[in-house]
Amino acid sequence: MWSLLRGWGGAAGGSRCLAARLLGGPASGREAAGVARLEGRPRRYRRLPLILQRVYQRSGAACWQRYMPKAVAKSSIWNKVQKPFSTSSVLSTEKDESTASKDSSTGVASKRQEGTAETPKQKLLDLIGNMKVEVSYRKKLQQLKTREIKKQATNKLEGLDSGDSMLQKTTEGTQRGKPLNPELVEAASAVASSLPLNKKQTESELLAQLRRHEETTDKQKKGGTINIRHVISEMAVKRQSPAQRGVRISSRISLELDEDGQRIKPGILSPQSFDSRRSLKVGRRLNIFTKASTETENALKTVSSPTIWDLEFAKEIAAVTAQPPRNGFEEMIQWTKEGILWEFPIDNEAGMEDDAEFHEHIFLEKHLEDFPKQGPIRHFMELVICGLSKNPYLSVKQKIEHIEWFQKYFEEKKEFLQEI
Amino acid sequence: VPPRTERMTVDQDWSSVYPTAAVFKPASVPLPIRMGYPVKRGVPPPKEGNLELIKIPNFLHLTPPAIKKHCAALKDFCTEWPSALDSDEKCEQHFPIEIETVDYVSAGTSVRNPKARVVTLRVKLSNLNLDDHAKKKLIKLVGERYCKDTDMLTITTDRCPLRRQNYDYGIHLLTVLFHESWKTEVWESEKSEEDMEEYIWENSCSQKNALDTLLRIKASENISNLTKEELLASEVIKNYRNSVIALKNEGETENNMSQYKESVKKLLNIQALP
Repeated sequence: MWSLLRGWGGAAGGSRCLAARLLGGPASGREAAGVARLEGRPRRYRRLPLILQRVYQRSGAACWQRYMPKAVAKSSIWNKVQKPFSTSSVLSTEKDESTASKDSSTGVASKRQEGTAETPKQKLLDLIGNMKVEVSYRKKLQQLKTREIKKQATNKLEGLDSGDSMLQKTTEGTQRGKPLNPELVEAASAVASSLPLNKKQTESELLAQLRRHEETTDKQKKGGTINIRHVISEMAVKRQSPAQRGVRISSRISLELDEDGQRIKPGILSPQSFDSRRSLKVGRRLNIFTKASTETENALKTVSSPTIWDLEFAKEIAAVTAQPPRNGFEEMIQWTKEGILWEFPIDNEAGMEDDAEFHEHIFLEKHLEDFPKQGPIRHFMELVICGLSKNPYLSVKQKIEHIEWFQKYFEEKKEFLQEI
Repeated sequence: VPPRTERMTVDQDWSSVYPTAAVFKPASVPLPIRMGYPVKRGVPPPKEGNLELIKIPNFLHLTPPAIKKHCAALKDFCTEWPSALDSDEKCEQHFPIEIETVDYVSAGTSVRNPKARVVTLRVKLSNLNLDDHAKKKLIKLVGERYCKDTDMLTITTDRCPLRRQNYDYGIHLLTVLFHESWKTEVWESEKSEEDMEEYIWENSCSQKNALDTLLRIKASENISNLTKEELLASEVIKNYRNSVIALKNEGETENNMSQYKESVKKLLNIQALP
């Protein structure tokens, strides 16, 4: 089974076999479904077999040995569990930390276990997504605790021979929340120091176990025992379409902004309690940034949309998708678009633009203001204007230029005219 | 390879063989056509390889069923003729002004045609709100553009380069004519007899002459001096007046002449003469 898991490149294949084995007989009907489901999402769920594996391991083999503070039993479990860590590239973060504190990694693993129970998929994903954060947090916390507690090692040692008392302690401890009960930690360290074997290792193992206890009790407190079958069957039955998955992936990184400029959290992810600690909407507004007006954004979008590249792209698409015309009508359409064929009904003035109105062409007396009101010049110019108004081939500008030419001419010849 | 014509059924869809204007293809047209100048002691050449048939434009794509299909396809883009306008009189009543424009189609590189800018406006003066004086003035202003027989005023404009400019100018002219004809200028009171469009008997020399004659007759007969007004109102004068007006305005017709004769006879009391 491990050999299959070693090659994580073939994650899909590995997961398929693993899932088949895990689901087994009674769940054979769901096997295909589970397989199909798992196959469909190799990337996301390649950690799943690992988790399942560990769950199976823990629930199957190590049930009774969990509460025995015997290093031997625990070390055996540990050995079996350690291997997937070494082979998984996904859990490389834990791998780095595993040498430092195996507790944290197992803590994470157990956390994952817890996640599967609540709402399997979503919890899983968020767990995986938040894994690093969780790990570091837990690691820090645990480090702090161990430092504090190591000093008070011996006092609580005597009362901890049986696992039941330990269990009692754990039950007490759970009520204080996620961080381990300092007394427990203290006790664990004391035990470790008392035992002849590798003290550090045992201590860390104990602490990890304690944490696991806590989590299981938490889980059970919240409701629903960890039943692998239920978990797996539930996972198998719930089919998530790739679209949905895509939506969720995208929703995780959604940049939708509501009116406040805050990120809209999609409804799917809302029931998660893990994210509540890191929700963007929680907390007092600092009012550092002024609200960006969405209108300008929209305006910018509309202005920048027909870029040159967009036009070129559109042209390219049109050129590629353009099929040769299937019949004469399509050919005529194509010719009309190209400009080879005139547009019907024919407009003899198509394309001929003249923004002037009729009065600018015909009523040209206003340009005669600079001329004398009486006399032959006026008479002459009135005739000129009459002629120009009847000329449909000149533009208004040209007509005005004509009149101005005459004006200049008469200005120059003023002396001669005055003699006359 | 046998030509396609041999495989064509009689009831085939011809509009799919020639959907658009195309060259004459002898293998696609199942008609035994002959065209061309006959060889000596022969018949016109057959259609195969016949350049004459290829040169000429053919209308094989416009058979009546094909045109029906075109109409059916174009119907979706057409609006219906308004049902209220079912007769010419109603059209004229609601739309008295008729505008004519001409578009010219030609085979050539350029679509331009300077004749396309001409706009013609036609309107019946009876549809315009004109009183007697306004009508006469308008007719005087318009001159040749008014046709008396059809009572139609025709304005043709082509002074501007574009059609819409000419249309605007035509409407402008009509408006100006209408308003100017309603105005009465000061100098219009100086209208003399030569300016009159039709013959008016009042204050004419005919009236004067008739009255003078009658007065002299009465005076010679020593009947009491009747006033002018009474004379004017008398039947004889009225008859005479009508006949003279008819003669002057309508011209010399049989009817008019005989009427004039009768009225003169009555006036001068010479009924006895034939």
